Amino acid sequence: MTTKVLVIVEDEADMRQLIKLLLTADPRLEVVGEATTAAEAVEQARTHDPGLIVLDHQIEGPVMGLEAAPALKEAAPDAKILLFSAFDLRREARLEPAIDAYLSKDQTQRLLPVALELLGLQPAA
Amino acid sequence: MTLADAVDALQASQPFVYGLVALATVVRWLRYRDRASGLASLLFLVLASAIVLGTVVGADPGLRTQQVIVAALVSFPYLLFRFGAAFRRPGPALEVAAGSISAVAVLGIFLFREIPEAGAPTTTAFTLYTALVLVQWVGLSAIVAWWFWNGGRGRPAVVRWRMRTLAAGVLLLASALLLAGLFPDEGEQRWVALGVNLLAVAAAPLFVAGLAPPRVFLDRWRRADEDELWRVESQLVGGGSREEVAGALLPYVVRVLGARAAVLGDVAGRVVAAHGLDDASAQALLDGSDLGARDAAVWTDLPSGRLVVVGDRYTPYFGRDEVETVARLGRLTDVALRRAEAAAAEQRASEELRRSNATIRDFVAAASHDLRTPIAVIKGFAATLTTAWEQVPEEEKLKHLATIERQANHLARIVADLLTVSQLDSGAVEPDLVALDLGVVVREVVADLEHGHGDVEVVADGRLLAWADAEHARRITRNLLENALRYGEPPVTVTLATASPWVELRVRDHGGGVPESFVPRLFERFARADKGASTAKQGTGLGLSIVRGLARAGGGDAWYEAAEPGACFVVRFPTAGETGT
Repeated sequence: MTTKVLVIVEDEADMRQLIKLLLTADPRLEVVGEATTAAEAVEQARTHDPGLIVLDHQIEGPVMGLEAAPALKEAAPDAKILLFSAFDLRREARLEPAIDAYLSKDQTQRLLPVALELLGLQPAA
Repeated sequence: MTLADAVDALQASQPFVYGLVALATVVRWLRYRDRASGLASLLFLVLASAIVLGTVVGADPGLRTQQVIVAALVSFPYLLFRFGAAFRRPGPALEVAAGSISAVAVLGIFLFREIPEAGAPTTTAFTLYTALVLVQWVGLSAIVAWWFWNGGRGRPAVVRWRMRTLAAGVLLLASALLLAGLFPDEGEQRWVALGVNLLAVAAAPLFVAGLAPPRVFLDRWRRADEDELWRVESQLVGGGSREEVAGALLPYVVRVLGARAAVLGDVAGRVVAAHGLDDASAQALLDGSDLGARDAAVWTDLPSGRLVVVGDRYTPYFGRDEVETVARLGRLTDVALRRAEAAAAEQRASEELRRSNATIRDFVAAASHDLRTPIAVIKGFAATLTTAWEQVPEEEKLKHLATIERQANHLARIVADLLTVSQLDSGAVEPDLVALDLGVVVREVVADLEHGHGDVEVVADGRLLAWADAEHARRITRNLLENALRYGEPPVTVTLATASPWVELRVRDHGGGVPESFVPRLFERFARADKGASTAKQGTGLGLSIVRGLARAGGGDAWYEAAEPGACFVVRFPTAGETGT
């Protein structure tokens, strides 16, 4: 059974907990890093070489999530980046090559299926 | 009809003809009562009286009567000179010369014991006197005729025609006199007599046309300027901005009155537009500064201000109807200006609406983001608990429920703040102002703080009474204290002090302060600094906008002051009395 390591970039602690809870509902997924700023996230990405980075847009610090995406991709070229935001950033996400998918925070129930699809995993039975 | 009959008929008509001229000038004077009209009517009353008297007394008047008639006749050129001088001031030398020669002519006749019959031999003294009168009459007439003829140059058609017709009348009458003076022997020179009388009679209608023209003349003369008047009127009716209205009106007014300048002022006496004058001079004119001897101003009062036309003294007399036309245009201008004002107001309102729409759009975007996050968290945890209740360990369940409660509280707070902001926007917040001891309010709020009240120090000298709504004052204080504890660093100091007529509340922390670039947006809704500590901490982004809104609703204000180190927020309330201990 493959274990995919994940990094969550989110400045809101409760939201971070929720993302973790939703994703780790699938035993194949493991959260290895959490970050609240872009700088921390790049550091985590470089350290863990994750398969998926769940990235909020409005994060702490001077660099917003969307702007941090290219640096994250560079730090972990194999990682899929999922932009997960309460802002409607569909268009911006499509125009940014480093972003692999966008999901609105309205649709938390779809977080796990989208993550699995990005990682090329079948939904758990 | 013989030559003599014709001469007699012409002579007999003169009292009537000049009587009519005098009547026309008197009627005009009665209508307008201005100085120039008064002089004109005096001028022709004197001339007509002399002619009538000469006719009435017949062939054998007494010496005194003859002297009075001659004195009246020779005073005519001097009165004419005075009439002309009402429009342009002659030089002092000319004044003295005209006055002296006229005085000699008028008084001189009374020195003669006898006045020779026409054709009879005369004394040398009388010949000299006759020559003097000729020089006086012809000289003064020529000067006045030149003034009017030359003065008509460059003026609108009506004014020019009137001035030049008058000049022609003056010249015809002077020619008649010159002819009579040069060929005095009427007995053998009936052709001369015919010419003299023809010239004298022909001058009369010219005087009437110049001094009191009948409507038919005016209409005919004005036709030349009517196209332009029509163009200006249609421009004014067409409307446009204030500048376009003034641009259509003023140059025309200046031209139609042969004026030097025109100024349009508003009700407050400020210059709206000026033509032919710089703004400072235009303002001075509206303020009532002296125009100088050569100029005369025509003031037209409009409901929305004043129109002032600066011209020379010919304008108000010869362009009386033109002045009335300008007054009519002024009223039209008024309508046009009010329309321009309304259009400008509409434009401003539409821009305001556009700005307001953009603000609402930003507000909705920010609000929806801030509402979505807690909802997403609540939904997420609730769904997890609902679908996997059995699998979630007991201690996790409690943690999740606590998270749901925390986020629900946060959501409630955002909704409450949004409601307050919306009430502030619509002016629905009505503060219940009472004389409030702010020190007591602040200490209560500090005591009620969930976290960090140990880090807050309150400094207040005595009782500080301010007019404030108690609930608003609490909310203002709580928002500022929570901000200071959330985004700043302890210690946090609340200072209350009187700065008459205000009581000022200062909340200061010792953190990193507000980034300078963010200060201008600090009190905007959902404004959050990109840098510093603010982005990580959970606030609604509405706290400061509410602080300012409530402070202003109560007659006070709120602002930010940089402190070293830290941030300082100041709110002022209207003071409600003495401080004491």
